Parts: sequence; C-alpha cells; structure tokens
Amino acid sequence: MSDKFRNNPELKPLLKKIKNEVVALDGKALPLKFMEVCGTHTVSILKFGFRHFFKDSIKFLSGPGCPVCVTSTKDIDKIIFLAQQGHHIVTFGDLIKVPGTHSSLEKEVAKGALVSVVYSPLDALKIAKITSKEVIFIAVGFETTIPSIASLVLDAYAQQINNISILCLVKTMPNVLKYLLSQLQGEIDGFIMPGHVSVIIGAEPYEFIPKEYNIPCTVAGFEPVDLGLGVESLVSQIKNKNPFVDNRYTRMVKPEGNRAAQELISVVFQECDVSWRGFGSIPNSGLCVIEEFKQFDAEKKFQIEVKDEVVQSACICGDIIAGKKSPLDCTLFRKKCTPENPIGPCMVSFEGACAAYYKYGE
Amino acid sequence: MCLAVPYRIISKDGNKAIADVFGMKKEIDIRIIEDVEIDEYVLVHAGFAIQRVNQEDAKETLELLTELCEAEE
Amino acid sequence: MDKNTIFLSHGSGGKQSQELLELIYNTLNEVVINHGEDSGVFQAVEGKAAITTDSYTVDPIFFPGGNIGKLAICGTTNDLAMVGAIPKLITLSLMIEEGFSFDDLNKILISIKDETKKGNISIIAGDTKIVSRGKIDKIFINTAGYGVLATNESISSKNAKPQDDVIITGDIGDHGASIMAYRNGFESSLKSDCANVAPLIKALLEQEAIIHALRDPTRGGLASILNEIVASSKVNIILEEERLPIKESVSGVCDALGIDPLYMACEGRAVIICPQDETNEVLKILHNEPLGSNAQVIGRVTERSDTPKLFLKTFIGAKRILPLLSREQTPRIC
Repeated sequence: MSDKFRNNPELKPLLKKIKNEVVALDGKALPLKFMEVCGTHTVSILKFGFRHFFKDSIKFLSGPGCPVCVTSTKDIDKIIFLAQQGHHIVTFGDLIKVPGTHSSLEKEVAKGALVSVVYSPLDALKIAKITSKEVIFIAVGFETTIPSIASLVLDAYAQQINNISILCLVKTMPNVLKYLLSQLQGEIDGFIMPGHVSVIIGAEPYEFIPKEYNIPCTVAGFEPVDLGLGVESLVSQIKNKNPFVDNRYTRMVKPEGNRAAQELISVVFQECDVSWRGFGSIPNSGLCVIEEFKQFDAEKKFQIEVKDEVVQSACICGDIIAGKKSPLDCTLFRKKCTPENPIGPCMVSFEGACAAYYKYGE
Repeated sequence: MCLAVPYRIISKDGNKAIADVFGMKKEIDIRIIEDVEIDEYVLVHAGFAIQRVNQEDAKETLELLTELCEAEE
Repeated sequence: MDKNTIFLSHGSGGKQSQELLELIYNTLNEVVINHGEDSGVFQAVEGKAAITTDSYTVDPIFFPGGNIGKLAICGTTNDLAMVGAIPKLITLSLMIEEGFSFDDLNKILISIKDETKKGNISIIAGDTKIVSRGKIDKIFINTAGYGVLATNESISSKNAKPQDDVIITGDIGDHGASIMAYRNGFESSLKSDCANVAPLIKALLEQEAIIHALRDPTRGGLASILNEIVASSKVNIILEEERLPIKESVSGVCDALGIDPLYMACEGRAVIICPQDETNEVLKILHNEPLGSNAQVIGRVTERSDTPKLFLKTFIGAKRILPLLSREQTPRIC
C-alpha cells in the first residue's frame, strides 16, 4: 500500500495537468506562492523533486514548522547551560549542531558533556533508570511529538523516577499561524497544512484561514501522491475562487483530530506564551508543564542562568521562517553562514530553508 | 516537523506493542490508540503510535488520484 | 571472569603478553607468515604495487552480518581493489581496551582469519597494544594492505568521462542502515553487506574490461563517493531514482528514522564507471560473480563542468541535486 503513495504511475500525468492548469489561471501572477508550514514537507518537496518540477509555476515557501529553526538562541543557551552543569542531556538528533550564543551541544560533547541522542522521548526514561545523574530530556517539537513527551512525564511519575526532567520548549501551531497571517496577508496564494500535526489537532483549527483571509488550505501527507493531491487541491481552490480547508490526508487525519492525544497532552501541559526565533513572544503558542508535575520541569528544578539573547543583526532567519525573505536575500548566506559554520538554525537544521537552498543548489 | 510512518502491529502487551515496518521490528507505545488490533496499521512518530491508518480512506485517496488523472483538463 | 579478561599486563611484554600472543597466533596460524620477527620480509614483484592504510573504530563492534575484524580485512582489500590491485599482504595492529574479553577477541580473530583465507592474502606483520580503560573504546584495528596492480590502465576518480555509465555492484545502504537499525532498537534480518569485492574487480581486469573509475561507497555512502568523483573528474553525473537497487527493509528503516539510503555506508559494493560500450560486458562479468548478481546501471556521466554536481532524476521525472553532506546523519523527528 505504501508504495502506491510513493511510486505511482498516475502521479506524473496529474502533476503535468496541474502545471497546465496553473499556467492557464486567469489574473494570477506566476509563480504562485504556496507555503508549506511543516519542515517535513519542505524536505519531501525537495526530496521528490517538486520544487524543480514546478519551478516557474509554483514557488514553495518554508514556514515556521521546523522546531529547530524556531528555537530561540536563549533556549539553546539554556540547553548548553544544563549540559555544562554535568547533567545527562537527552535529545533528538535534530538539535545536536544548533548553535547558541557561544557553543552547541556538539561542541560541549567534545569538551566532555554527557549527551545522548534518542529516537523516542520514552528512551530518556530507560537512561534515567541506569544512571544516578539527572537526565534532562530536551522537549522540542509540535503537537505531533507532544503526546509522547507527556507520556514520558506520566511514566516517570507513575514509576517514581526522580532523576529525570524535561526542558519544555514545545510549541503549538494554530496561534503562530494566526500571527503569521496577520503579517502576511495577500502574499501567500495557498497553505499546505502540516499532515501529522493535523493528525493530533484535526483540520478544524485551520478554518479561520479561508474564512478570515480568503486563502486556500489543504491538509496534505508526505508521500509524492499526497503532495501531488495537496497541490492539486490548492490550484483547484484558486481556480474555483472557493477557498476552504480541504483534507487530502483522510487516511490519517480526522476533522477533530485525535481526542485521546489531546486529552493526554492536557493532563501534563497547559498553554503559555513562548518565544519563537524571528517572531519573539507569541501568546498561547506553546505549552508548559502544569504545577502538579513541576518536579519534572527542568526550569523549576534548576536555576538556569542565561543572558538575554543578543540578536545577530545580519541573520534574517526570522524573516525567512515567516516567508518574507529568501536565503538569497541574506548577506551572510554562503559567505559567513554555511552548513559547516552555521550562524542561524535555518542553516543548521536539515529542513531549514537555508540548508535546503544551499544544498539543493537554489 | 513530523516524520511518521505506518507500522503493522504484530503483538501487544499493555501500553506497548511490537510492530513491523518492512521487516524491521520495533517496540512502540500504543496507549492512545484504543483497541488496536493485530495486523492493523498505525502511524508511528518517535516510537509512539499517533493514529490508526484508515484503509478505506487510503483506497479512496488512490481512487481520487485516478479520477483526477482521468478528468478532462 | 578473570580468565576471560584482558588486563594491562597482557601488553607489558612479560609472561601474560606471551599468552595473549599465543592466542592470536593460534587462531590466525594458517594466514600468518613471518611469525615472531620484528618486520615482515617478502619478495617484491616487478611492476607497480599499491599500499593502503586504514583504521577501524566501528561501534557496535559486533553487528548483524559481521564484526570489526571482518570489516578491517574487507575494508583493506576493497581499498586495494579500487585502484585495480590484487590484494596480497596485510598488516594487523590491534589496540585493545583493558577489560576487553578474550571471548570477544577470539570471535574477532576468527573472522579475521576467515576473511584473510577467503581473500587469498596473508598477514605479514602485526602489533598488539593494551590501553588503559577509557582511553579507547573496546577495540580499534589498524591495517596496511599491499597489492599488485593487475592493469596498466589508470583507474582513477579523475577519469570519469562524459557519456560513461555509472554501475553499482549490488544493493545500496545495507551496512549503514543495519547499524542504524541496530543502534535504534530495530530487530530485523537486515545485515551488513560487509564483503571483499576484490574478486569482482579481479574478474573484470582479467577479462580486460575497460574501467575509468572505481570507488567503494563506504562512509558517506553512494552519494558522497559520487560527489568526490564529480569533483575530481570535473563532470556532472545524473542518477535515476527508479534504477537504484534499495532493499525494502533499508527503505523502511531509513523512512522511519529520517535518514537517506543514498548516504548510508556500503561495505561490500563498488561503483564502476566505464564507457557505455563496455557496459554490457562489465555487467555480464559481474552477474557471473556471487557478489555481483544484482549489479546494474544507475546513472550516467553527462557533461564536463567547472562547477560539477551530482543530480538525481526523481520518480516524478524532476531533477534535484544530491549534495555532499557536511555531517553524518542522525535520526530525526522532523
């Protein structure tokens, strides 16, 4: 079944049709601008060649759905601080090379810091059981990842494991999208909504996009067929001048999402204002650990001392994440900022716009 | 931000299950999937099942592809 | 436990050192020449010879399909084969961490013996060091390999020419994917492809197949090695995604962990770049060899370029660049 969504002979003819339809659109300046919110979509669009295929007809802009890219320098500095205190840091691989103000986890490892890369947050509990050190799981991610992080806290509580905590840096989608749209009205022709965040929160939270901003939206999956159907939906909505939230990932996404996941999240976390790289603080755009579980909250457990961030004036990561500028507009791009010496997270993260542009030759 | 792939359930034990992805077996957490069945497919992200895969909808999606492909331009 | 454990004293030159050396010589007996001398002496042959050196620090040291010992021998023979040399002699330097077990060392030595014997090579010199706990990780192996050139033609990464075909001798990414799967708790029948490819290359050279470039896609995988070739030869290469032989299980674990099979190490494969009119002959010879049964053309050298690039034509017929990655892949959640 999976292969039918990847290497399907009907996809190429459909994509050619879409290209022809775009060219035939009345009164629309080309290329159309579609923003894929999710970093995994950025990677899929590049990997499968969609960017090249639709070169002059559709421009794909990367949005704020790259959890590494939107983690602020101050938050990275907090992680480095905890590593330097001698705690056992447990993290997803995505974060290892992200630079803070002076250092990165990778550099701290070379200096002797204890850092483990895991595939699942629940692996952090396994580590905590075999060490006397404090294990701190770096909780980055969006709604897709938050249920597994909530489970980590609940299991630690149930099993009375006391040498574990999380540094809660998770963020949520709907309100950052509201913020983004308030900055970008008229500049985006369509949104490709994050397929797996939508598995958790459903398609209903995006209703405001066509209703208040008249912009087409489609919830899409990540295989080539899913992306093709997603792009087809947006072009069709533009052609029919009828924007709505179209769910083209029905095999995984229900309109209301996954209620059990939402309940699990609400047992451990509550909404709070968090800081996004490039955007600053956005109200109710993240989660923090509720009072009842504060013993698992690294910010409450430890005195984390980091300075306020000094913004690198030349780094325009924030504008790039917001879709306002492209890496080619950045004076540091390819000169001082490269994958070997990244300045901002957009270059460090595998799915960051700058890393993608650099590697894939745009 | 969300790498997730479908796995097939091979066996269950409380909150955990052994699941298969193309011949690779892994222990995953299934606590938020109610009454998951053996041989059912679930979407797994970071070792955690986040949804069951609806096979009917999967078929319909492929049918939609065919329909759009065959439609007049 | 004491009898099974290697201590620092096993490296100090005294009686216990003798015991360790005895074990090593007993296990490797039939493949070692020049026992007990400070240097290995051999009759040099006329003509060109090749020498290579490598160090092996793989973690885990035992992995599905092999261990660090097998990897050390095959890695060395393969490096020699890649310049068109027939491997003849190998040196073996073992650096062992205090506390390592004799049982594990024995298993590794047996693999070394088996691969050396299969490859018709001999161990001509060796060394053993025992290092304090924590100063190295379990066991590191260093080798030097010596081989005799079987061709007068220059086989080099600089020699890929426009319109040449790009051939891979078998499935891609098995070794890297099997290690990633193992490290991340996946159970499977996926094994490393660790193997000595010198016989494949010998067969090609004996039948005078014309080859322009040969590389084994080890660390960094197929895409990294081809990036090196495009840069050395100053040509563009385009691969076709539809033609890449990748096992379903390799694809599966790569999808699950967010890693790309094109960058996963292969330890028993060779990339062969040859003129188009040689391709049928090359494939015929490869398909006759056990390790070459799944050899296929996966792409082509296109034109000369001052800014050479490696491209991939994807399933949907679009072109994208396969860049040289600046770092090793780690599992992603995004």
